Amino acid sequence: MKKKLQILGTGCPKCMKLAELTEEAAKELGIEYEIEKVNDIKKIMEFGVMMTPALAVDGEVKVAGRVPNIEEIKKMLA
Amino acid sequence: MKNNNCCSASSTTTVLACSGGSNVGQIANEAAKLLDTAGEAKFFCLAGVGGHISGMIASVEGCNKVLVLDGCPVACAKKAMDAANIKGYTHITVTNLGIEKVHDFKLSDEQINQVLSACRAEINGSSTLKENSNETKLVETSGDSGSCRGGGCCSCE
Repeated sequence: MKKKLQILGTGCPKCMKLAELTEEAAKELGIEYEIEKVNDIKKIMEFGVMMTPALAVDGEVKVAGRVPNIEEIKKMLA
Repeated sequence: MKNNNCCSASSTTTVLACSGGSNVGQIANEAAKLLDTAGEAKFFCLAGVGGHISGMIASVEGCNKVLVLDGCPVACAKKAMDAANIKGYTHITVTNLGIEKVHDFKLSDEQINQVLSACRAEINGSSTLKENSNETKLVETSGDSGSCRGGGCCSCE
């Protein structure tokens, strides 16, 4: 089943870096995915996130406030 | 003013309080509110952690320094943190400061200030409380720093 990957952040370099690494990780794992950049503050707050960037996988926030390395992201996607 | 630490874990202490149905729970809550109002800490929602809201748990995990306030030895706040598998926080129990637990909500300013002092000692690293044995977790930040468009979750302006 296609995984829904959401990058929560308002578009700063760290948010973009997280998006880039997440896509890279998903491709390396060979998983089917769709990626969405959520930059609306109200929507970000609905996730309960108080620090960006954050990554949500199928609606569950896996990390907030930092950019993990690609190996960590792979574990979050697996 | 632009903040080059945009989107990284804040260096401000995050405080979560039990806020329970007794004087000591409400003293913990009041102390957390006052620390936030004074800009000394950021008051965060313990119920969100207890409710296993993934974004809230991930946010607390992303904080550099976390202070958890419990009213009494039942330690509901600590147990909520442990149940969410959040580690590396410091912990204060109001009754351990010599304040008796009663079902009375006429809070004493003197007792609130006593808890505030204990919190400040923790925040400033000068605490001598024996219960605060957890090491503060340092969260790695990586990636380029820079400014986003400000507001909301980021501290950019």
